[in-house]
Amino acid sequence: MKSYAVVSGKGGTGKTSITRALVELSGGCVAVDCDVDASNLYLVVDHAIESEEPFYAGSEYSIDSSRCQSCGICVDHCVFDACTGYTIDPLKCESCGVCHWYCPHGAVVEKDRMCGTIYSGTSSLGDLLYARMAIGSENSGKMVARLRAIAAEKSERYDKVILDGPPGIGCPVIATITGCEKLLMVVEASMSSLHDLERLLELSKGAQTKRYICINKYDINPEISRKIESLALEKNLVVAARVPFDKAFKTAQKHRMSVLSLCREDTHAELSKLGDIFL
Amino acid sequence: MNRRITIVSGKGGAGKSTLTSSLAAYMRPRVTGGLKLADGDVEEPNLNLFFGHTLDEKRASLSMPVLDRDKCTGCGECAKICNFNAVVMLPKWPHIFTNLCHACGGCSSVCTTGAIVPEDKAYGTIGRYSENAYAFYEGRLDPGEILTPYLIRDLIKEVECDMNGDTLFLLDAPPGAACAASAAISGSDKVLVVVEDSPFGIHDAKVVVELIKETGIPFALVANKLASDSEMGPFCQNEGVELLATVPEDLEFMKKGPEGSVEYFLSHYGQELEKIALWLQEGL
Repeated sequence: MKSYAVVSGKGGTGKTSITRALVELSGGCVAVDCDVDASNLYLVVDHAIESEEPFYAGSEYSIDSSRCQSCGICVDHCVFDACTGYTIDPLKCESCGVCHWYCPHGAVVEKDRMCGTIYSGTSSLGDLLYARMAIGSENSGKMVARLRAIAAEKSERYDKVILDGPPGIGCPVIATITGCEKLLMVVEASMSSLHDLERLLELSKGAQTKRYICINKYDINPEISRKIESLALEKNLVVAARVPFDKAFKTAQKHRMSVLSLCREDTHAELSKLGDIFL
Repeated sequence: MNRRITIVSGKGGAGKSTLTSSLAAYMRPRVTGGLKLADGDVEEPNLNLFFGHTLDEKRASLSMPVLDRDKCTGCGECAKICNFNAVVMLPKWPHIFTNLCHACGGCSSVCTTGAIVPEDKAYGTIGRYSENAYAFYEGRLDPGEILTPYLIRDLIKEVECDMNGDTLFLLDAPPGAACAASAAISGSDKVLVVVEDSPFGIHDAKVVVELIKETGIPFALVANKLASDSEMGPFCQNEGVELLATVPEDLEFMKKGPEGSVEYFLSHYGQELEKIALWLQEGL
């Protein structure tokens, strides 16, 4: 089994639409949406949900007011200002459990933290895995790791796992790219996207992963596209495709279809080339 | 009165930074107590690309535990209290995995011999630029670091220290609706949600609206890249919120780099910024 991750640094560069095309071009794979707090891939892959499982990670803490003596020991030990003495603010709490450890009255209640739900589905393109994170939740990196573990269990049927990554360079991105065979960075021809690509390159430079670039909306700003090309040359990265701006991307989203069936010929040619090079 | 307005979107690339920078430029001559603008998308800070300010930078750090083996008795309490598997007991003494540490201070607080001492470890940078009553701030997480929400909170504290009692603080939030977005939203006076008019944009906006509703903070919606066959209507109806302002799909605008987009926004969509400005003042 080999994993292929699609990331971008900046959001909105076309990761999910391009992943959707790659899933189709793969000839059968396990598609995994690793953007667990804003998953979109399932919106454009016609699928049937086979199973769902709750995802628990870490603990959550609350105060049992019948036991609390308002001694303030939890307040003194909480470095996150989440303990006020009578309550714990869930948005500030990091689940370190220090309050629970120190409470002399056993008033801090600990329970497993429900971080969201993981969905397994099947489609004509293969298997689909995605998640819905609980609102404002933590542990997105652990959730990505769990999704990838489930994908590995499914790999008897398919030898490819395609991962649609989250934006940014933080915890869930690290969990997405770790141990991948190949990494595709989808960059759009904008200054912001180029800036974010540089940070992504910094993050992934030590990884034993072959890195590729896809320039999306290539013709929107040819000057920036040229800058991306020279950066790729300098860092010895393959520019696997130069996808033009094509309204079919939005239309495909609206009709919950693949962009491949709606796009212009030149777009189609670039996406096919991307499939050949990257997969 | 000081007030913080946080700009979120759920989906990345919806137009948060474009709107935030234009709104800041619009508000700057119109506020009496000064304007603070901050980029809270610390994993990918882009806002300064719109301004090109020269930033004074300082490193942001967290107290991370360091072990002094000479003082360690090997009791193992530090490993027991750690919820993050960052302190693991070896036969004689613990090993600390700093990259898993959440800087809660638990391990050093239980150590009776002073063998675990917190030391500052840098994990990002906070940049600052100021000019009269205006100041710009940026948080920039070091690649490989995972404590995104911490740097957002450090950034907010930094800005709040500079507020004079009648300051408007505009915070550009990270995408998503997980802990990082939540760190930016928490404590805001109002939240502005930029919704990209596309199925992905609306889907992700719903998720972040759910998060905002949980906090009880007032919010408003701004539609971006509004298409002729818009799907914004049903979305707003379901949420029971009116659209505050709209920016149409505009290819010419899209082609602008960050340098030209503020000027373009002000000259083409200034009336939309005025609507937002009025909303900002309501009830505050």
